[in-house]
Amino acid sequence: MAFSIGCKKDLSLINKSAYTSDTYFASDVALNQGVVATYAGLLHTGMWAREWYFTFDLLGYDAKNNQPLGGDLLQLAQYNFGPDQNQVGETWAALYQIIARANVVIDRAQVWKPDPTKPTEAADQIQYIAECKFLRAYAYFQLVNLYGRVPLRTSYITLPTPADINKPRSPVADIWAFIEQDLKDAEAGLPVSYPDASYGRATQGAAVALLGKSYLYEKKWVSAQSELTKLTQAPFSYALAPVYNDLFDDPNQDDAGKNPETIFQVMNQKWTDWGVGNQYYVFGGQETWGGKATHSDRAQEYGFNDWNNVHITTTAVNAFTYPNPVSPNVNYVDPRAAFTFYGDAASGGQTQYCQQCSTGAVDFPFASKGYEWLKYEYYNKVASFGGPQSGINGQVIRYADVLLMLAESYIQQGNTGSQPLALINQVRSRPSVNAPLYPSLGSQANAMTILMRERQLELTGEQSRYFDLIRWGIAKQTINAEMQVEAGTQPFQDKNVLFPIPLAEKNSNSAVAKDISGDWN
Amino acid sequence: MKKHRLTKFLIFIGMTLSTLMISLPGFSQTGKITGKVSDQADGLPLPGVTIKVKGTTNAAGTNVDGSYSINANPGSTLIFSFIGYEQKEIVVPSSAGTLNVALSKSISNLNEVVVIGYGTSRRKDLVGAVDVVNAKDAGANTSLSPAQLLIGKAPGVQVVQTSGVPGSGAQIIVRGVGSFTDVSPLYVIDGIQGNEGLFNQISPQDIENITILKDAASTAIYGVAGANGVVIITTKKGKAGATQIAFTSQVGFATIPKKLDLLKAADYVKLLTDIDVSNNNPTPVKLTTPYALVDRNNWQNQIFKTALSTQNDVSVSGGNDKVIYNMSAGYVTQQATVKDYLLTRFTNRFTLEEKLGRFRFGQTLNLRYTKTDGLVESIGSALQYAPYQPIYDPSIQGGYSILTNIDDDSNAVNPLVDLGVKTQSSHEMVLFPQVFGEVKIIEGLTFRSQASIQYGSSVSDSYNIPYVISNKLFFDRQADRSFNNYYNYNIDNYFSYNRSFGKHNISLTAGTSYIDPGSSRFVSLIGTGMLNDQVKDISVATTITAASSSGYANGPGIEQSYYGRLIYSYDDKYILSASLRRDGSSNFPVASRYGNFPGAGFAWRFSQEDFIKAALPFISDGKLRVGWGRTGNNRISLTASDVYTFNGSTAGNLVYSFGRNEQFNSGTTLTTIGNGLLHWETTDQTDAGIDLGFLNNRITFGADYYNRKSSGLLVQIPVPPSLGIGINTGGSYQTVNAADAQNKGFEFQLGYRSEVKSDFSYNISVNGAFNSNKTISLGTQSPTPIVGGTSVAETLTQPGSPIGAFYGYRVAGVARDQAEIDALNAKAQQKTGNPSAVYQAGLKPGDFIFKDLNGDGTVDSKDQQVLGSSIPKFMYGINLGATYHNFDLNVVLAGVQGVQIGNDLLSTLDFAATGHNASTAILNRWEKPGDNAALPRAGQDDNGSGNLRPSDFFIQNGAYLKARNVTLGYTFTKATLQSFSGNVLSKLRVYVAAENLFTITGYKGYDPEIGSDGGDLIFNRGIDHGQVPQSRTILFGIQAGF
Repeated sequence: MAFSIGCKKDLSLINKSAYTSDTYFASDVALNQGVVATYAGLLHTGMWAREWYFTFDLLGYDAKNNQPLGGDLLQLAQYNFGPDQNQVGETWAALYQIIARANVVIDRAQVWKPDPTKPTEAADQIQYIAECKFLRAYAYFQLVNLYGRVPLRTSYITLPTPADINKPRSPVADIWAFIEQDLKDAEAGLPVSYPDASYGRATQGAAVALLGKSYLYEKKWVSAQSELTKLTQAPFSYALAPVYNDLFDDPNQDDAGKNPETIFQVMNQKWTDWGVGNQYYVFGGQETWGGKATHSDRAQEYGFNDWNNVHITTTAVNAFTYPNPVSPNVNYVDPRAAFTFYGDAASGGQTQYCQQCSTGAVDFPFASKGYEWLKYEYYNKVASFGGPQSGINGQVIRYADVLLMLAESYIQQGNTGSQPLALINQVRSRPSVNAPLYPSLGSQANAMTILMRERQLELTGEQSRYFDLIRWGIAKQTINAEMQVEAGTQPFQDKNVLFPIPLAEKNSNSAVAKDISGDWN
Repeated sequence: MKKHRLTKFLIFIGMTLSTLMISLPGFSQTGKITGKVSDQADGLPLPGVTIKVKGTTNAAGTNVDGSYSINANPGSTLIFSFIGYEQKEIVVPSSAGTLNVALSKSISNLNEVVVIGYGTSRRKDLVGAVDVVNAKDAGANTSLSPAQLLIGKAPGVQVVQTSGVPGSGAQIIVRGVGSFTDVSPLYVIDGIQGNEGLFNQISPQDIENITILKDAASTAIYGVAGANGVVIITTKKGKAGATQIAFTSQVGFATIPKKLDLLKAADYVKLLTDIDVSNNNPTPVKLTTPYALVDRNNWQNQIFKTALSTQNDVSVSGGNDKVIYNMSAGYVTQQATVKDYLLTRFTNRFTLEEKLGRFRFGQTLNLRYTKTDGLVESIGSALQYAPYQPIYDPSIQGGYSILTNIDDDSNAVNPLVDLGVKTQSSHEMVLFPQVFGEVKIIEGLTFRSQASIQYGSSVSDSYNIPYVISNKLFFDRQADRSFNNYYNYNIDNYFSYNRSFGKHNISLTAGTSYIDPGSSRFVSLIGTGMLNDQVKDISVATTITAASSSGYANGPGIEQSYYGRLIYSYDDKYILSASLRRDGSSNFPVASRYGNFPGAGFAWRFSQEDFIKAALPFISDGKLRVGWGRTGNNRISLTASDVYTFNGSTAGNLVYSFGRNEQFNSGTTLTTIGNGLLHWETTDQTDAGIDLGFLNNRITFGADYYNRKSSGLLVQIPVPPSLGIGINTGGSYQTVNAADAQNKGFEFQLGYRSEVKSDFSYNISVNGAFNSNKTISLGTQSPTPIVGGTSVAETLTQPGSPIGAFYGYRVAGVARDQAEIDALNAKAQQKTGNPSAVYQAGLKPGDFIFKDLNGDGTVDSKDQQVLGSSIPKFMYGINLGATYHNFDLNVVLAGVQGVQIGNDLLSTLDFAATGHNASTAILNRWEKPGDNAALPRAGQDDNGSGNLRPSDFFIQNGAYLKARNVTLGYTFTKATLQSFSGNVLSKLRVYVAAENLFTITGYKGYDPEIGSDGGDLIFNRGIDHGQVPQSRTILFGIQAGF
């Protein structure tokens, strides 16, 4: 009777919670979902929804801790961290998640057979692979700069062997070679632009810009110059956004007319309501308890009328006051100060907020607040945000950055002539800025000084300075000098030119564990 | 192929059986004996006594009035046996006729029938380490949960409560930690496999006894599920006879036995000011005002309360020789000792058994309805919230006061806010029917088919009004509802053959078992858009979306098993038991789905040998046992060998925005890796034991040595983050057969029972168990140690040390001043020869100096070592029972030794990296150069590399002795009962009891008995996060029989 029931059962079960990996990514729609998931990695913990700007604004000393800042972020602000520092591990993990997700698409899209009757599918196949190669290169670019030698993972293995799992670190040169190849492939496969509905995806320009930037970081000045020069010519039509703040304004930054400048940005959509997503998803709720949410909490975290966790450093503020290019004996206050921070009139900072509020403009209370961040804030529209919900996209690479990188590639080759001069002056002559132009760049050292300052002023609060100081080899002297003045410490040690290899990797990857010196890198 | 082998196996069993049947000689009986069997103590008739003619299969039973009738030859021997009574053998006198017999309650339990896997055995025939805990002796009347019955009762059996929250379960750990995935034993309820959930929710009133199979010779018959021991629950059955009604009622008052000493407002403000100074920050104005110096609330007093519990049980049982029945109903209400949570549980149980000729049927329906209301506030918040804060603040949305970093230097959360703004409730209904049918095919051979289904469904609701918590985090009005529905079932079919011939006694069992995982389907919904709070239900929401989870799961996977066992005894002296089980499990890849699990044991009752009887006459019973067996474990996720897509953990949550008008686009990717090489985890256990009885078994002693080696342990090991798997940065794991581990131990039990006298009698028993746990290897797939625990109480699992051993630095002291640090650095430079070497990176005056354990001159990660283990080295229990006239006293003491606790709470109680309240110990912190302080300065780093790195500071001695249960009862005499109730009451007992009356411990936290609190009991065990402690409960009760 019941006995027979016991003998016939097949021991296979079907999981009804998800699709199996080996059959799912076999259509245009599914592969597109794979690509979207790769972009989503840009918002993971450690990346652009929160930790990215804290980490590099603090370490690059664009930002310093205000009294509400505590916990692990305070350790970053004090340069007091080790291999178990949360952000050090989170950024590592998030970048590798982007790589793994990119690998899924690259692996599967290559074996996918597009439907010949649907001509868009063949084009999509090329585009998806190219997008993922761009994102994979973006992730390796950050990894190699931050951590140096890192494991090079080039495909998604669903059933990995222990050797696959315990992958050793690759030489820096191999990582750079891999990045270059990915970006060349991406450049060949990506469109120059997308229809409006797909705006925000990686373009050919993004691949060119990142490849040029990679050459610059590798000190391949000639290659950098020729690669970055492409962006100044057809088919590209990048130009500086006439109003500086449109780069940091939601929705103006998505407006093709107002912002022809952005080359690649992290897309943050304004948070709308709790039924859709969790306002606090940035604290680890991405893709899980956070619902559907892609906003940034930078405005809230930095905002002087909100959580006010950090100040802009006085060092950064003071940088906006410098010898006038045309009459060096007189100090000049750069107009970009008013787009970057709130302060007093003398500093050049913005002295009012709420300009567009129904209640009218309010004076910024400099006496009680001190210098505070304006870039990425929208206090011009509301007096207080009330919670994280900013839809302001994160600028990853924009045309002004490219112009300055191109100028640097000339200067580094010893060319301080009209070409780099024109590029620097082009950035300074943005209509809303209109800073006085440099008549000449002078010596190579002088030209570099000008270029460095120009990068600082243009890109304050855009997580550029930390990387610049490290690659220029002046991080220790610069950071320690600045922090000595403001914080009374000189915390930057020689080892800080690289991040420590995260403890979590060391604890789980035996090949990496035995290849770390001094508990650090 | 597999089927073929099975067929062969069954044919073999069948042939063996038929051979035995044919070869058995027949006996003839003559002469009718009749009589009555009664209880020697009170003279009442005993129904259900088995009377057997020795050496034959001829047997009969007594009926309701204790009378019996059996055919027997004069001169033959009649054996009268009845559970709980001494077996009596009487030679039939030459003249047939009446034979009245009085049985006395057993002191020794040798003839007691013990439930074992797929059958029963007499205790004296056991070859393995088996403990039986009778509910009666364990204080069943006062327990609200069945696991409590086991605490301190059986050597080597540890009960770990999940937490002190009502209704939370308990996990039983048998003989140490032998698995990296799951240490819970198999739970068998009335012979049918159940699970921990079912076990934890049985009313203790319904339990007759609990048998624990510890050695592998006994558990191997359960193969796949037996590696962590087997806990067999036997529930109360009806007895033939007049209807009996029993009623029990009790009320209890529970309190938290201990509170921690926290800072008052003035010291609190000083602490926060010191943090600001450390971090070079200004102090908020509010902290400099007199307002902040006023103590407004003691938050521990605000959240703790005296919790009331009530329990009422009624049972009706009775029957005749054809049908017996038992019905019981229980109603429990229990409040939490932390505001504000109420558990209400109704259990109902119907049992019927019918005998129809050679057939026997049984049906049991268990029904359980559980309702919870409210939520348990966070103890952690109560320890951290500012003492100057009021409870309420009408200016804040939601009405509860808040802190902000800007104004208060702290963002600790008001510990009472959830009570005011959230409502929560849940309802769960579980049906657990069990049925069996038995047929006697021929004399001695029985076929039994049994099945059970577990069906449950639950609905949880919550609602919150719009509110703001610290740092002005705003949460909008929201209603949630979640549904879960699950079922699973199992079927067993087996033959049993029991036969005695001459001095040979044989017992055979063979059968199959099938477990169907059924399914579990769940969905949870979020409702938003309500305009006011007049109706607190999702039904009025205007927008409803899927929330944190939805999905489908298969329970434990399909298990398909075949098993057989032989128990053979000769002359009650030599007993041999052997079993074999073959298990198939869907949890493994196709190639490795099946595993074989053999077991064998041998026992020698040397006390039956004449030469022993002559030489050692004081030994009334003596048995030596040895056994070996192999068991398995398959408790891993179904998906461990496959890879599935991921599109958000509520499907659809994985999105990114594209477009000039920014719209969500859905994403799907992979976030796991599979392991195609997974196979069974196996545990080989050897057991050797001795059982001794002296003075007619008034003194009993038992001891066991075991060696349990587990290999190919299934473990979720962390994989490198660089693999890029996992969700967000939630950690990434892979299930592998990684490790080998060993548990070796020694257990003993010593008991004394005085003679049963009416005025005074007593018994005492002591048990203890030593266990040594060691990781032997981590295998090739996981060559790096497994890290678990928390950042300050880190555990490391590595070869040579216990599983989940605490690991870290050792604190040397607090640096007094820069001079002390300079001296250390100078020494470091001298030792390393490096002129820029520092002793300890980042060390400043007022910081912990850690010990340079490897003596290389500097402190780095190589200066860490094993700091202790949360697996106790020694556990013990002491049980006392006494009756004096009408009074009875029962005392249970239990304790553990050689165990450490990772006190994670200290990282906020004794340290202040950020602003929050702390313990008074922090007054001894370093404040200025020259201070000889016990604790470091305020405001040091939050994690990792500074004072809050894992160290021995957080590892504390967790040894304790607890008075688990002290019960004093008074039973009214029959005469008294008759005088006021006539014949209505047959029994009346009143009692007062105390649970956790006192705890002797050096541990400074709330309670050294650390609950698992949702964490695993392997890599994250014994860590105090501020789990709700076990309460001290005073109970008053009454038991009545009608």
